[in-house]
Amino acid sequence: MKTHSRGVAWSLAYTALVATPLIVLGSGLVSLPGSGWWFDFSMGLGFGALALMGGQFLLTARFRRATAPFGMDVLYVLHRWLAVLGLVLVVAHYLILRFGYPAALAPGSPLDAPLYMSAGRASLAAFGVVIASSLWRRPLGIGYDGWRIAHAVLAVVGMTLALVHVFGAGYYSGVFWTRSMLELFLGSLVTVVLYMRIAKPILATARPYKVADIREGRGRTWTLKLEPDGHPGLRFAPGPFAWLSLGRSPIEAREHPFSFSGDAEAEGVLEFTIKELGDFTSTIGATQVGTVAYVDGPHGVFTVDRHPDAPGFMFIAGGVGIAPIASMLTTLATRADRRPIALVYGTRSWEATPLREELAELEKVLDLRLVHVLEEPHEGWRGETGWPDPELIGAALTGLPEGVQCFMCGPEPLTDMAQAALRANDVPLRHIHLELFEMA
Amino acid sequence: MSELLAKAFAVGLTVLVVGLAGVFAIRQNMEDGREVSAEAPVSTEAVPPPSTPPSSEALPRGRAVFEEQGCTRCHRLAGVGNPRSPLDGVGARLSADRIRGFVIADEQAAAALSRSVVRAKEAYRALPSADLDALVTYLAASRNAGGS
Repeated sequence: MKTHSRGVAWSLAYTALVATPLIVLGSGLVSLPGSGWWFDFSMGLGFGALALMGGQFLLTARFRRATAPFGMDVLYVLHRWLAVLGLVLVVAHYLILRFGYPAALAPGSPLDAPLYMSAGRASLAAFGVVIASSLWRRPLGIGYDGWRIAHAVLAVVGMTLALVHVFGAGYYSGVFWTRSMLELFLGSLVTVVLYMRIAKPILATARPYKVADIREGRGRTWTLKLEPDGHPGLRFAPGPFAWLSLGRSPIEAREHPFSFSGDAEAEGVLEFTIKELGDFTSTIGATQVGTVAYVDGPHGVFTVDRHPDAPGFMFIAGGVGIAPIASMLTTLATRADRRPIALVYGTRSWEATPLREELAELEKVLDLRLVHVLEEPHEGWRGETGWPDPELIGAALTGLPEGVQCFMCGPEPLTDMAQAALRANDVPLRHIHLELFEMA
Repeated sequence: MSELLAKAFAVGLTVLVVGLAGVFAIRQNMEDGREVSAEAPVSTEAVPPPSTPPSSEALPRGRAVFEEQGCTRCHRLAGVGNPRSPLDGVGARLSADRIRGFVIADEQAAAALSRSVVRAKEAYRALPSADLDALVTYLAASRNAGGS
């Protein structure tokens, strides 16, 4: 089956999964008297929100077969949007009752209210905290590791409280069909969480890697080379990323997503080019050779390998966003690929241009036109300055055959601009590929 | 492109869920069976009114117990409370004895109620008997399904 058809099939399956609770409720299998349109609409929204929120656990469980047609980064965009929209439905469920049927709500104090009503309120609060702490993690100054653990725990707590609320209310959930469906739903969630947090990390311990080399690069970057320890390692298409945990047990959930930056044709060996940015990456340089590492991947669809018929490629990178692009270029070079390529690469300064030397070597073996753009050019710099702009991207594109596939990775303002510039040059959306790096 | 599709899919899926919630609410309220409480099936024969009218203190006391005990959380009576399980006219459908049975979830009532509802109702067994009597009297006095 083609990638496109697989994507459609998985999207339909996910839609069916989320819609099932409401379809069962509205099917006539549940023959309970109604309580007025608004009241039952509020109940419907509650069940719908439960299904949407439950579906989030599947979305982020990294099932490679299901995520392959889309790319993990895009699924995280879906995850964020569905979580916010799901929360809107929960709030609507509550507000309809608050204003339309206040007597149906128990007192706000948990001391006076039945457990299941307090559980409903606490669930709403937990989901609110989960979403706020994810959307505004950086402005709130929350570290990645702590956030990740709290996110997983609070999401499970929120979902558990929501189920306590539904089973406790016991009206629709007291009916055989609804109850069976909810129990099946609960069982699947428990299975997914156990698989994701326990089974998968345990399986990962059987496939450890060792840090074989660590070298400092330009622009506060470090390139980490890993070798499989006692197993053949994994194969990857150039461009995607993996979750990496260093020197810790994979069960601790302290792992971080990084793009492969190395040659996909190099058997077993993995390379990651990482910039010192957050709390974890700032200590990356202190990693000792021989440190044990675990890799969950590859994930994502940001790769030239999905476009074997492309007549050429256009790459746009900003800063360390060069990492997945370097992986694609290195791999194309190993394969002696002669298709024309353009790379527009924006960095702060010549000294802080990651993988500069490696790219110069690649220029010799590939049909590559490389345009460096420096924000802070040194004296005597004859190349482009400032930030890559639409004119520059248009110019780079004109040297390439029609129908090229375009890949971009870097800060959002750059990729937004580049997308608009490509569209203005009549590049169809299906030829534009973006690596988003917000795994929250 | 995929990012835009993801956002469109999220909005589409949410609209579908809201639509299905609306359809569910319409279906639930299509038939005019709302006077029938979920947990108080209509008896085949109407219950005759009590031979002696309730005392003047019993009704206000019963109403106060109804409100204090949070009965409105699950039941609606005379326009007040949760529409889920209306009790208007319950006095014409059930005898005072059966109403008492439903309040405290006795063995016969428990067979018709879900486990969580039985658990919630068991707490009312601890009510002072005068309060329970007043509550039953108040409920038995509701003989009009229209809500009076």
